[in-house]
Amino acid sequence: MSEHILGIEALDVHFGRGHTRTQALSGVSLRVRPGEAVGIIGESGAGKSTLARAVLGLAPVTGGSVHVVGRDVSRLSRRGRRAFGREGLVQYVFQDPLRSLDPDLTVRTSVAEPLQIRGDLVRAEIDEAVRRQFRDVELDESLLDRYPAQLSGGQRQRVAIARALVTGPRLLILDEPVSALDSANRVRILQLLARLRETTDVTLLFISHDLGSVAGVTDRTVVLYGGRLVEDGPTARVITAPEHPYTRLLVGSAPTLTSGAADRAHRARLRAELLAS
Amino acid sequence: MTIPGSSEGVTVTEDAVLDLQDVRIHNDLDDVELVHGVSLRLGRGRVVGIVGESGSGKSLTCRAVLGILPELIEVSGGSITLLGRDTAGLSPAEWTALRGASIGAVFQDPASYLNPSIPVGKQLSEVLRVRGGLRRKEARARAVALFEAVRLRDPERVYDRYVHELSGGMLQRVLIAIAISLEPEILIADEATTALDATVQAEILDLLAELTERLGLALVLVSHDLAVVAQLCDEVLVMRDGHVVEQGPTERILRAPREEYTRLLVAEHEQYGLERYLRTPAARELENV
Repeated sequence: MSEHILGIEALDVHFGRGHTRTQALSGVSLRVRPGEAVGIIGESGAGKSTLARAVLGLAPVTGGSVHVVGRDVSRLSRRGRRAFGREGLVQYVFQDPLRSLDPDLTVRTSVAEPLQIRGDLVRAEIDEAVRRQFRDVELDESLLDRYPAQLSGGQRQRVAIARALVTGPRLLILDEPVSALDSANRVRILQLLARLRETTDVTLLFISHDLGSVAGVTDRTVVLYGGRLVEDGPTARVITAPEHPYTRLLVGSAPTLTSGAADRAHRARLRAELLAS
Repeated sequence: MTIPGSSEGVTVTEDAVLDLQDVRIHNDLDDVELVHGVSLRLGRGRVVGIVGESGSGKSLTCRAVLGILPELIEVSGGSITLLGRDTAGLSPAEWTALRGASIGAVFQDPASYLNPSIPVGKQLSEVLRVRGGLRRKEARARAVALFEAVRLRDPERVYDRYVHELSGGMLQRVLIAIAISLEPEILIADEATTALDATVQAEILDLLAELTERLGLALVLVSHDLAVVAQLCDEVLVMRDGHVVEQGPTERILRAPREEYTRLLVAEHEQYGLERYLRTPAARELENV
């Protein structure tokens, strides 16, 4: 398993107990190699965020295992989980950057924080790393002493990405990172992620409800439906020749600029197929 | 057929149900103009799209058309003609009579437009009784028929459901049923599918397309996503910072955008969207050269 950065085997996750017990993930297996960019697609409730939480060692795993960089994170003790978090091997970027940035800290402090927690650099080294990271996400150093509220949504999301990258993580989980941004900022973030892939070997897990927003920066796409992984393949193949009825409907439902890519009657047939499956 | 002098390449074959001429919207508190001139003509059964980001003025334009601009924000120039009637001098009572009966609207967050403590069906039959003059029993039957018309499965059961018992897609169908219940000529859908899952978004867009065809409803479809608008619209307005940066037939806007901002909206899809793997009108155009 060592050649995989992420190895998920037959993962089950349940929430609640007794008659309210529900299964969020059922038998999900997924292996990701270093440097891959994988889109994780599904509707709300499909289990995307639960899968991300499992990779971070934060989900109540009831079966199967999750290995990150060769280490089993599915049944960590509280202490083990904290140590795992401190190393910064896996980082997470939320849809809303306000959630990953403390409003009372300057963005310089926020970006430096993961390095201070790891605690292996002196102050000058941390400062230099923060500046370098800021330049890498195309932010002007003059913004370093601002508070999150003094930045635009696009700038905030770049700060959140800088914070996530500063520890040099092996795996970066992006949860709907561009959904809340306007077009110009969406394109900038996607360009930034595409360049990140060329210049580093960081592995990306790109979570979205919408196939369209991740198609351009992933080389592989997996589809979750009802807590199960129903499709896994090269992004181009998943879009042009989807296999599972849900993926077929998802592709047929995605609004595109291609006129008549899928018409109403076609979608009605796809819905019927999914209901029958 | 193109009529000379009509807006570029768009066919005008009948009287417009909605006609905006150089509409300007002004904030009296800060004394700034927020929308700097919007013009559009919408014929019966036609669909016009407005694309823009938050702050572009697309929602303010919709609110002006509905007569529900916030306090101290007003139409300061141009004209809005609804079914042949200039809306400039309408009294609040006249607006109320017009809304619902002539023009309806649905917005992004359907739950916030419904009462959580009354079953959704009752809220619709209330509209039909008070505004439509139907009797209790007739109103209920009509409400169930409307729920069926918006493709809600098992409309009798949905009638007695509360807001918290229905999904976002079902609630948006309920709102559409209420919006069309008094048989208006015009429906405004402002980001009505934005918060929904991709497959549900397509269901609602398909329903709106079906209603325009079946009922001859004229639709103003507003979205931040050019692709959503491209699905349904004959004509598109691209707005930014209160200006209409580009306006024309959808096919032309997608194939040959003239303004840099519109090109960005198209390029975003072509580079990063599904279109990377599918053929777009622009790509087909290149192949034909």
